[in-house]
Amino acid sequence: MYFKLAMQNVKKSFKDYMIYFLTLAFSICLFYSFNSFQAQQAVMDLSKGQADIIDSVMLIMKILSVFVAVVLGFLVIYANNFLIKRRKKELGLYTLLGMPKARISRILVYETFIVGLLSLAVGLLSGFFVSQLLTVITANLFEVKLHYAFIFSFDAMLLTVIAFALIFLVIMVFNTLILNRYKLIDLIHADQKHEMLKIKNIYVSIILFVLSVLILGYTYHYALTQGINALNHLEIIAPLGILGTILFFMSLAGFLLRFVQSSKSLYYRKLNMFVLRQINASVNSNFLSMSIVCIMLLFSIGALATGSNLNRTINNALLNTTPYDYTLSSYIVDETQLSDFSNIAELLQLNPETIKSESFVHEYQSDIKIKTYQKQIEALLGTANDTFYEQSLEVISLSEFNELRRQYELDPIALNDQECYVFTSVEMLKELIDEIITQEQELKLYGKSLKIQNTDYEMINLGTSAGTGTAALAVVVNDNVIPKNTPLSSVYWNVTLSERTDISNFQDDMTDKITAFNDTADANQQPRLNSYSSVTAEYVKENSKGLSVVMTYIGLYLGLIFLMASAVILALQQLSQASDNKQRYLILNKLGAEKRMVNQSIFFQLSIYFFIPLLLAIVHSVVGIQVVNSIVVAFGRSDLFMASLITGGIILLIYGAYFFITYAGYKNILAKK
Amino acid sequence: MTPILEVANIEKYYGNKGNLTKAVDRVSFQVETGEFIGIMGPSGSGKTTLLNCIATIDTVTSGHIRINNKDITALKKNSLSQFRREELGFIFQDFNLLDTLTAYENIALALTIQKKKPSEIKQQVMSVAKKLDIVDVLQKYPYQMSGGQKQRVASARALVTNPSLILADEPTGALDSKSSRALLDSIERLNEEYQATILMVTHDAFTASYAKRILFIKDGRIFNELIRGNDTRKAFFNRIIEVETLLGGDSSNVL
Repeated sequence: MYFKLAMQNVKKSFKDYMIYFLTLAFSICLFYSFNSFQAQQAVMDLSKGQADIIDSVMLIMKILSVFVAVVLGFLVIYANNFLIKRRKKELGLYTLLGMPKARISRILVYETFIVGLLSLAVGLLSGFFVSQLLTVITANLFEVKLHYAFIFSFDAMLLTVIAFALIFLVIMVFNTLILNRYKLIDLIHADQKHEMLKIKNIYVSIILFVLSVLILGYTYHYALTQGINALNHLEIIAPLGILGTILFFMSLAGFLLRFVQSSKSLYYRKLNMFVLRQINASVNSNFLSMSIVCIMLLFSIGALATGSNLNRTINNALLNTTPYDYTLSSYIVDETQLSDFSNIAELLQLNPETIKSESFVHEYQSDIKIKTYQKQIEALLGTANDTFYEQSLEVISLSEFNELRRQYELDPIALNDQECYVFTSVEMLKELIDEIITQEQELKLYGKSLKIQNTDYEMINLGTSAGTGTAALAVVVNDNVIPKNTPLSSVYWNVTLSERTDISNFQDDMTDKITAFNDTADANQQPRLNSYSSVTAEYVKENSKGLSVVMTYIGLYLGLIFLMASAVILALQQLSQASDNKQRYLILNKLGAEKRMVNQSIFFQLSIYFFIPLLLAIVHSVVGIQVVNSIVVAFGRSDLFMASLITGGIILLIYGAYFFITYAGYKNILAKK
Repeated sequence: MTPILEVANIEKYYGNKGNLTKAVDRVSFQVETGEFIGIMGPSGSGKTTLLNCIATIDTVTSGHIRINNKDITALKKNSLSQFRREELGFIFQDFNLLDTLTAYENIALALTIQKKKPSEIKQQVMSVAKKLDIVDVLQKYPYQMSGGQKQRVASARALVTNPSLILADEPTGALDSKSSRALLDSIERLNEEYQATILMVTHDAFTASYAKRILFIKDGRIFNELIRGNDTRKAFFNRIIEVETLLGGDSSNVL
């Protein structure tokens, strides 16, 4: 009998349950999808390295899922609390009729069970489909072929069921506790409680609003001028940003009211006055949640944008950092090091058949120390270490440089003996080079004045490397400008491998060969290889792919969860206020306000609650992403436009869905007698 | 003179075939322009149902209600709210002022709902506020006002749109006797000086004595009608008490 009663209750208050149900189903869907990576491997041609990456993604997702489950747990409890509140009177009636509390909580347990089961089914089902989509995304990220087949991860399902069973268990206990706390008189008179109105001084709001804008403006300015260093000053930026945000929402209603009041024709237009007063009256119970939502949205936007941006950035950068199949480079410090690479293949006892072609790049030291540009560099990078400043501008011969350009499929450049060409392959130093090119006429090198010939340059690398760019401040000069016996700074041995070579094991082979070479060199007291880098293009690609895949999924997962959480908090808060505001809307109705006009006012009111936090979060994140971007450029050029498009689309879809459900629910609550 | 309100043989049934309640049972009457009519009856007599039907808040089962020659029983939902805001003014027992708005804004709200030009609003609100003597409370919020002031603000809101008919439902129900008297004095003045047509529902004989004509309702039917004529209010009050006794109202149900 109780089960039947519970069944009817769920059916009857289906519209109330809608938000609760949607939130649960959506959480379950995300939870399943982001834990289903194991199954994805089956339908893709992954190399061993890529499979390792998937394994680490899985591990990270599992750890994140614990955190996410806790967040979702709180969210579900919050939603559940809202439902109980909505039904206080009904529960009071059961008590009044003499039903023991244990039985009432049994009804609630059944109800939770029914809704939980239903949302589990819907959530898992949609999770199956979303995980197919994720498989396509993964295949895309790895740029591997997909043998399309429906995937199902039993592990993920088990994990989801266990996590949500736990959450439901907590709710059941919670409901019983809550029920025992209520007094009958409160339950029966639940809908008669009125919030005590306290009208605050509007001028205080205006002062606070101006203050909040000033604080935020200062914080933005500070963050932007710090650039890449901003992350080191989070202890200043974060509290200021939070303070500014809270003050903003605290004073927003009052400010809006005063602002619109100054235009009589706007204020006394339809129900504008009513809506603004309404918002102003409930600001005390809303400003904190709006601030929290705004900050969560900021995280969400940041995570989504970084997630969708990093992969693209890295892909672009990869083309640039991997010109050759394999590069062995060495940074020359002293004479104990091997600096003559001309017969390196032979020295390392490498089978000549593995090499299709080889080329060298020599970087020479010059008499211009990097310290010369210390000020500009500090402005761009923050502090750099002393050894970096002690290095000199790197000089490269024209013939080797043009050979490199040929590999990049660029036209060769021409220089005479009085000219030089300045460039960098480090994105973060771009501004400095631009400054040198445009403002300095010439450089003094090896006792000669060389005119800077170029006004622009391509950011090419001297060889394949896993780092962020091989040439920091590089100058290309005609071969005969470099005096004989100029000390070397570094040497690059760039190799294109023949088709017969086993590329995936090549790097490991080389490491073994280099170790063997160094052992013999030490024994014979001959120059050895020190501070060298030995990488294949494949290794670099897989490594950064791994980073990008991990970051993309963390971004998507956390971004979606935060987005949903903020939408749910707003939706529930507005819906619970809808019942409190019912009396007011009833008066409007009695005064003869058209339904359309009332609906417009609800729409207007909800828009303010939903979209102003979003708007401020977007402004925050534009600044935030600028800062983050200065770090992302470390991986190469980033494509912000595409990232914002994807992020915007996702937010519009999810946030918009919650907005419209809230709007429908709000109207529904007001329409109920 | 044409009647502003014409109630013709209306019925309002609740329930279903097996258990039918006739809340209003074939009631007919007319109200002329500038009249101040009271409707009296004990609880459950159907007077509030009757008022709700006239107010277009509820619909009748059969019969017709014409206000200003418009048959409101034939109007559609959307035109009903338009009719309500243009032709009717309401004064409720519990004031129904919006606690978030100042007195001025509460009165102005009735005009903004009518989509009146913002430039006209101020002048109209001030003029009605003068009539009801509430100019000095206009900037206050409902929680800062006394019950009498609140009800006068509510009256001003009802009046500001220049409605054909003002409907008052137990307007003194939540007031002490001093405030009641002050409110009724101003309602009377609205009727006499500004020719406002007022239909007031009450179960209180003293409140009813301010009306010019009274309809008594019992079990959904009109039971009696009293016309004040040239009586003083006190004499009229005594006649009301007599009818109430006859009606078996408040005290005489005890047998």
